[in-house]
Amino acid sequence: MDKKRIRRLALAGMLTAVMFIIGYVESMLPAFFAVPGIKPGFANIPVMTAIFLLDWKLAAGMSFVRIMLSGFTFTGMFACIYSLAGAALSITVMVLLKKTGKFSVTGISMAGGVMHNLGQILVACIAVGKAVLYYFPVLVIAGIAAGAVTGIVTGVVIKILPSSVDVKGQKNIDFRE
Amino acid sequence: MNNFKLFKKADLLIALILVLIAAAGFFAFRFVNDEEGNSVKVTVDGEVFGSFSLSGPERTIEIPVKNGICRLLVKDGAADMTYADCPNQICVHHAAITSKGEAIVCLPNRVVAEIE
Repeated sequence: MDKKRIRRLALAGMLTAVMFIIGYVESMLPAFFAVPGIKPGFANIPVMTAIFLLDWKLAAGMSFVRIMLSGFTFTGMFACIYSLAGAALSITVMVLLKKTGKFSVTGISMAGGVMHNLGQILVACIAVGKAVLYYFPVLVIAGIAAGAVTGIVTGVVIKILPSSVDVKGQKNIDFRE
Repeated sequence: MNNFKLFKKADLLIALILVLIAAAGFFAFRFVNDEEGNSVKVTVDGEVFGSFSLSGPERTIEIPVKNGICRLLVKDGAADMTYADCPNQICVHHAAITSKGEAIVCLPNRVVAEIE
């Protein structure tokens, strides 16, 4: 394997681990919000970092692995279905918006946050009935707010990351045996 | 990554469209469902458990669910979840509901109480 692939793989692995831990910490936060489903969604930071620095296939794969890991360890399989729907919709929209090249990480993140909530509410709609649509407007606003915050954080992470990965001659580390 | 931008003007377009979607949803619910409800319909796991009139004497409905029970207090034209065997207690913290279309949802127990 060439060094570029190794670096990509290492970055993907690290980001997946970070996602998993963020998801775990968030799941321990008390439900202090009046409406279910409202969370900061910081796990979106590594996903978007992957979309920008790696590619959409790795980002989607990492997200899938993370949701499965969380499902088996602490959230349970039922929550898995919600997360998968949210992640699928949000990653699809974010990747498409990024492809246009017109939007920055913050705008893409806002759309991603809202789409994540939309995916979850659609599953809830099937699972528990259409009454959950009552929460839709609140969840859209929450998605915009959470998306804006995670988008800005992702932007800062992306600005910092390449230099912190590559500085001080680490670029020249020889991975061959 | 030197030309990497944190904001672009086009982001505002995304924000605007999303806010409009939220506003449309909000007004759809407010104006369509403005009337006072007559009864509260309780469904468990998608199946109707029962429909209860909002008028009449104050009473508590016990709903058997997967993890135990949920208690729904019906009083003065409003329905309020007062107790639920679930980890997050979101439905218990939810305010009482009175207007048509309003709902209290307990996702862990798959209970929906909806005003009709």
